[in-house]
Amino acid sequence: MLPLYHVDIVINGVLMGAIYALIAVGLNLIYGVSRILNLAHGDLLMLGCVVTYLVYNILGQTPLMALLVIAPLFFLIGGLVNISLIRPLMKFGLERAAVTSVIVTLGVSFIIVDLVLFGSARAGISTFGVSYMLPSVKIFDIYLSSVRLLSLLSILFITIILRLFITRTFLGKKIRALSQNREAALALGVDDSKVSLITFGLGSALAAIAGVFIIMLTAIQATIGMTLTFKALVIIILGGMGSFFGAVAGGLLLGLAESYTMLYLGGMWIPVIDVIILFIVLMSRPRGLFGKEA
Amino acid sequence: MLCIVPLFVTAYITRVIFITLVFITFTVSYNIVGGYLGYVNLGHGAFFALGAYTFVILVTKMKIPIPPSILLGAVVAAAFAGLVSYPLFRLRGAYFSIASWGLVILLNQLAVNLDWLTGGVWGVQLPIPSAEASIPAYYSAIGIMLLATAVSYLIYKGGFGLALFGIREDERVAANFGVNPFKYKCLSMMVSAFFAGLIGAVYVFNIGVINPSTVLSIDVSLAPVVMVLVGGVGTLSGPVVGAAVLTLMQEILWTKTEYFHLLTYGVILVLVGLLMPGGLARSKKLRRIVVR
Amino acid sequence: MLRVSNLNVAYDGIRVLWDVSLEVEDGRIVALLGPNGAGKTTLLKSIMGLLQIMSGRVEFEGKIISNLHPSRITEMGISYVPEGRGVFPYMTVRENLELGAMSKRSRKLMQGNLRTCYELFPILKEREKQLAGTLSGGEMQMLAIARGLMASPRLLMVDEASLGLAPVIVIKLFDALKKINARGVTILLVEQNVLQALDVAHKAYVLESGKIVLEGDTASLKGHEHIKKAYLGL
Repeated sequence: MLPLYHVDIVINGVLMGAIYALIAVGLNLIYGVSRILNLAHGDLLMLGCVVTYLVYNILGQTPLMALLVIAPLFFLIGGLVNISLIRPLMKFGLERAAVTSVIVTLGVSFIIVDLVLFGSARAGISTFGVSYMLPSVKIFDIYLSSVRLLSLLSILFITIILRLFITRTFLGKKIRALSQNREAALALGVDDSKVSLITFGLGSALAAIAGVFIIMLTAIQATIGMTLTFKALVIIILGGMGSFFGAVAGGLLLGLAESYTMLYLGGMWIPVIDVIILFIVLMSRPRGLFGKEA
Repeated sequence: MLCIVPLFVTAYITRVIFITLVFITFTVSYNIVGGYLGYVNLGHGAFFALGAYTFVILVTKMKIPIPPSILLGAVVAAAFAGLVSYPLFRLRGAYFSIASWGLVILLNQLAVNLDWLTGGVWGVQLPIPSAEASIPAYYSAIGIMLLATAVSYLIYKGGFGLALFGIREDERVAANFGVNPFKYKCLSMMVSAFFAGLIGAVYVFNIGVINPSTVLSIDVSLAPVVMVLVGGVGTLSGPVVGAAVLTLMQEILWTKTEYFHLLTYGVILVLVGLLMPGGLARSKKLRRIVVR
Repeated sequence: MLRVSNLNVAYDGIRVLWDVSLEVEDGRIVALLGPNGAGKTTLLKSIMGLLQIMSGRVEFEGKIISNLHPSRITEMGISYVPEGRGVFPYMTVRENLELGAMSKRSRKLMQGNLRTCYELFPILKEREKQLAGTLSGGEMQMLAIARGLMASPRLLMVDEASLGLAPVIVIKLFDALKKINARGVTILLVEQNVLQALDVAHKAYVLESGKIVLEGDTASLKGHEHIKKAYLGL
């Protein structure tokens, strides 16, 4: 019988994994529809953390309430980014847009990070933390953090709704169609700029939502954005490009791997492990676990 | 002409010119992969840092003299580039870019974690007085910059460059013409890394101190990406012009305020990306060079 | 019904179509023939708004549709069945068909259109819940054509339907196309299988190296020297 602390580690891993899965799914959605990888995705997450922090510390609202504000807010922000920056790029043709978008989204990332750095330096803060506590819950002799349980359930709920949206609604089918065969979808008359706009909003909202959960778990700094985008990429490659289920599975696996790394090696080795995992997957099975594309 | 400058101007101006030379070399080397090959390598900064750290470790821990240490720094960077080419080039486009950033993340974390080797977050101080180092470093920088530019020129004009351009424009077609894409990608990455590592070592030699925030921060690691964009990606003189312009701008503007460095870069990236895409990766002029 | 006038199209900096003109009359089947790489697919894609037209004009039912977004063109009543089928592999047959009905008009007619498709291609009804990627080549082609019909088009453009399919299946497909035409749908057919195409079509054009080199009704074309030599191997 495994020592009890393993339960804690697994729960932690699954929770982080679930959060990662949200990030990866959001990034994947955007990519599938527009063939654009938003390098600023992780920074939108970071902004979600910051907003949660502000909502909690200044307005005194619980983080979960912040969710209600953040989801639509970042949907709009994502849509704005799409209209102002991505849509003009698409005029140059898909391939050119894909290359240029690396540059443009990188630029957006820089801008976001620097603005937050500036703001936080002025306010005298260097890390953002939200110390939101709820009484523990006891199940089978184990004390579990309610915040974590609540977060896990919320994410599960969100994932299910997302899945239903993608499989049952017509818009969801258009999204899938665009990612499975872009030209055929266009030929059928799918309005790709409209779908792209909505998907950008959706993906960005997902990133920010993930941010809410992250800041409840750990304190963050303004620079975590690029690292998280990188993690999302590792997950997408691990789980397989183009696969919703793959992003979820990849996220959970990475979360667990990181949790165990934290136990055996210490948290500071987590980024190293991430990179190693990426390289191993690329060398042994580049398609990932459930990959649908080359 | 640059060689006689230090005799006439202050140490400060010499230093500025030195930094400019460093960034020119750094950007020229980046351009080989980021511009000629068309793969936006966000991990280029890792090669720079690796050269720098190798140099420092060799000099301080293994007591190896300076010149070979500098060279070895470049070699290690090139070898590392060769190794990571295998997994990295399984990816393309934006996937490749984000994955390549992992190199910087990796090196940054290793530099912090392996503190017995690298001095961790606080880094290492070189036991060479700065005054003694700055002149040889300056002249080395001139030499390396010229060498790197010469190599860049040779690549640009020669068959190697042609292959790179071909891969950039249409990888499948290039493969059909008998170009083994991976070989060229790997080689170009190694050449690129060699010069980055070389100039990284010289940079640190002059500065006299190394730590993760001086060689692995975002604004250093990703500087070449911005610089080459300003000058013209994939062109011969672009990286030189861009690096020179931006370094000077940095020296003038950034010493005024510690804020908004990254923001300036960001705005430049967005504006250039939206307004001057002709300079980015797909250059029509070069397309005709790629013989069908 | 469809009139293409002096169309010039470039693709990746290279000119593919040179001053192409053709006409498709209401209710007919028109075939577009020619060797690989002649630009036939480029022509269809340009009509569909998937490629940029440099100069020239495309008119449909009197309205100019050059360079409109494909979503507008489907709304106006043109459907494109892409080369290589273009089914959505990880969606079911049914979902593929549903996606064919993009405009509000065709969404309303969805049930009726579905029934028509299943009548034409009963095998699709059988495989309704199967993932489209698991279908055989012929079934995929049927699905692609059926999907095109779901948009209630007045003009159906079919690109290389016979490619890679066994002759038996090709005959079935062309039979289905005849039936579709009999219901009033005009068809523009790009084909490499010249014999089959000439059998089913009323009129044909031959495109070589981006230029129209021959046109005429199929009866006379069947006896044409060039056609016999170049395409029928006689």
